Amino acid sequence: MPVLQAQNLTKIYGGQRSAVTVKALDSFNLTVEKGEFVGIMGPSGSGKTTLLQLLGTIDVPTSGEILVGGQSLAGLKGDQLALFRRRNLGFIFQDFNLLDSLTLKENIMVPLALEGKPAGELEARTQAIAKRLGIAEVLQHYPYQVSGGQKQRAAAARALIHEPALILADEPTGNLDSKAARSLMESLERLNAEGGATILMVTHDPVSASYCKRIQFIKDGRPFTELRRGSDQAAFFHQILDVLSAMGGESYDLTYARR
Amino acid sequence: MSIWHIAWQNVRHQARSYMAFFFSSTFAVWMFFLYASLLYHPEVEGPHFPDGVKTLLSGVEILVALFAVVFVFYAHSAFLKARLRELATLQLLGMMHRQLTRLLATELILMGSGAIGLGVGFGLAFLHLFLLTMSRVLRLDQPIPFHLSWEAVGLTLGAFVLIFVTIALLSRRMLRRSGIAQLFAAAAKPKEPPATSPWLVLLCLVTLVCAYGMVLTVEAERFARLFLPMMSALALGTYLLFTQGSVALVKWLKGRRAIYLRRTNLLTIAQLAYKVRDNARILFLIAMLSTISITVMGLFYNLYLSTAKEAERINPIHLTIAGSPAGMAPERVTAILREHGVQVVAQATIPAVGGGGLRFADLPANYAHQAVGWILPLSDMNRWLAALGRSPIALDRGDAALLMRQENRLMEELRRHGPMEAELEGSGRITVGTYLMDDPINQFSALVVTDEQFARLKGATALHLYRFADWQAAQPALLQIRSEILDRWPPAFASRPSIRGTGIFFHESLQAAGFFLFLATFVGVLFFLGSCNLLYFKLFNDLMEERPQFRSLGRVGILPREVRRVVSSQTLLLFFAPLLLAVFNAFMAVQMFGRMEATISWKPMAAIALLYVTLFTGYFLVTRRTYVRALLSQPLP
Repeated sequence: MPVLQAQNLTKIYGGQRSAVTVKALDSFNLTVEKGEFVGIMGPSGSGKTTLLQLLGTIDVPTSGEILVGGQSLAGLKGDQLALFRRRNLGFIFQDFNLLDSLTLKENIMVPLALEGKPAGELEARTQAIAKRLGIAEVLQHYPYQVSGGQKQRAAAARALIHEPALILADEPTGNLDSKAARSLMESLERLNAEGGATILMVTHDPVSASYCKRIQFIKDGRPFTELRRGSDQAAFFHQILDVLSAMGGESYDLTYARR
Repeated sequence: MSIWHIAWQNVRHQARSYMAFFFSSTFAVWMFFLYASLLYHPEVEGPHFPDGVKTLLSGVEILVALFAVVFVFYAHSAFLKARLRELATLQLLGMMHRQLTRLLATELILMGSGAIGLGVGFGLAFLHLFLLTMSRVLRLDQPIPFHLSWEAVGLTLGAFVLIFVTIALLSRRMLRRSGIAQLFAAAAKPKEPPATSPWLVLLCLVTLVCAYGMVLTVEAERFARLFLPMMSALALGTYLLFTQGSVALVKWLKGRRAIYLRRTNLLTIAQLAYKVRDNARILFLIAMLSTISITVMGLFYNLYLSTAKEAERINPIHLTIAGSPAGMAPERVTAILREHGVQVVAQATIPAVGGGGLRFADLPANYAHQAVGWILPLSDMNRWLAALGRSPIALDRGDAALLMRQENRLMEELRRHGPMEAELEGSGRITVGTYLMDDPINQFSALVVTDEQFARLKGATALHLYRFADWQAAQPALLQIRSEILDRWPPAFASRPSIRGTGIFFHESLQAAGFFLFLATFVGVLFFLGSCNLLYFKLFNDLMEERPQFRSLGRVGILPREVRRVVSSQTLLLFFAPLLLAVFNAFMAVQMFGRMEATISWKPMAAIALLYVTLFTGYFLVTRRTYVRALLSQPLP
């Protein structure tokens, strides 16, 4: 059974009353199998972020259905939705989304602690995941004391610690320098390959995207094309560049900053 | 686009931050003006107010002014902190220091004049109510009339213009000293948690032991001298207790992993640890303000309630009239008493010689002299004592008995020496053999001599003594007798008859006690509202920092009820840790003052503390609700 199924997703911004309505997503379909590492790419305004918000249950589709692990999200409301989110999904955001007032360790522990897991399990799992992500040494630090790359690893650790069905990453390398970005992507690749984590990543950066196994391109709210990676990452990277220029190099803003 | 325009736009767009500062300033002006109006009210120096009230009011006004300064400064620094990023952005865009300070000054002028205007307006609106309350407290037949004093307006205006100008200058200095980068950093930079130091913990323990040690042992004579050291030690100790104690508490909690890592506790405790220094300062301020409020109100409430007892202690005889006032013959007194239906239980007229003093040659100079209120003959005195049902005085160890209401050094000496020779001013030597702690004639001291000795004294007059079945019921009669006597005798007239009565004393001291209680309540209410305001600032300043935090958590899937739990535990600590300490301090104060003044007991203090805690709890519930709502109001991104 696929981890994620999105069927005929449509999102229209602006209600009946407002004069301007924008169709951000138009009957979009997406299926992610267990253990996949999928990238979503597209120019600004193509609907990437909207898609991720719908999949992340942060926003509601105008029509269409989302199934995670076979369960439909349609009937969930309020607390149910929040509980669903924290049990089944893991998030990595461009802005890290860490709490300033908590150390990295405490940040990573939050999802498990909220679930009421015993202290021993929290410690053990935090140590294990921190070691795998190479941040075991800085666990006692506060976010402002560490680098962007370390922050994003901590965010990744938090997204993974409760072993969610699906990890949603929104421009995870957007605020990182190229070295830190590469290193983070290698970690995610490893987590996917060795740990079997299922990852869906929205990105703008062709280099980061080249770590994915499959890339779904999106334009004007509709699927544009799909690429699958072979064994050679460099070749995959060039394929991605080709698709991007085909989508319209001019409209593709390389210095794009989110929001 | 002028600087005025930008200033106005700023005020409009950051309404919430401005509002908090504006209303705090308004509140400070309001309270200050209300008190200034009373201070400059012509009636204050009139007959209805106890003597020295003007001085006392000036003192309270200074207290209110100090409070206003601290309060407005705190409000402004909180307000400025919330806007550091905006100010830095303006500088980044090329605004010069001069322009920036002008911008800030312009804002302050706008808000300051608004606050002064509104505060004085509120003050005027409430002045009438304030005066009416005061008239009731003083039990005046005619309420104190409304009076707009320009001095009060001038004083308020002057004081607050000074405060606002000082603030403008200080913030100018602050901006000049810090660069743009620092401003940005200050807005974003989280504070590091303070470290505990064993020396500070030790200092904390030492100061607290000193403070409470003094509270538990200080005697009445040394109280005035020890008051300031005691309060300083208490303040320092409390401050250290909250700074060091909260760090220690957080450390301890973090060590208990089963507690620490349990669900929302992780968030609660981690955030506490992070904000511990900030919190400690607020906790300290609230603790001190609440301590003062509860203690002062409790003590004066105590005095107010004990007025009746005190009246009976000072005037055990329900009515004494010295001398024979013209037109106020004993028959007239009896007639008035009958008119009011007062039941007389015992009555006597005793010949007495007024005044004089005893000088003991054998005693050290500083207590060798004892003033004597009245000199009385033995046989009449014993008859009166018999009427009161007390045992008679026997002059078998000398030829005079000294009666004192209270113990003093002279009494100690007499007890040790036995009978002692003394010079009775104007009538030669006398041997004082008997000494009693008793007051059967409403005098602090009296001397009973043999009838023969008494016959030799000159200037004898009469003392009319009455005891009633119920002195409280006799109060109107006494007030009438007094006013009839006072009407007939010009105040300066030397032989004006003195009249004392339990009911009269009660009437007068109830007025005074009521007045002091009113002042205490005013200060208490002021500090209570001040505490509430500080907490409001603290919370809603944090809101700016907290909201993104809880939004982050929301994205990860925290439930509203979990947010509520985290916020509840944090605010609970913030509100009630200092309150608990304040209540404890208030009872320590009862312990201390109770040793000096027997009338002070814990029950009135408990009533005041309960009232305070109840109001505070109400404020807590409302604030928490508002805060959680504000926190959860913004939808997810």
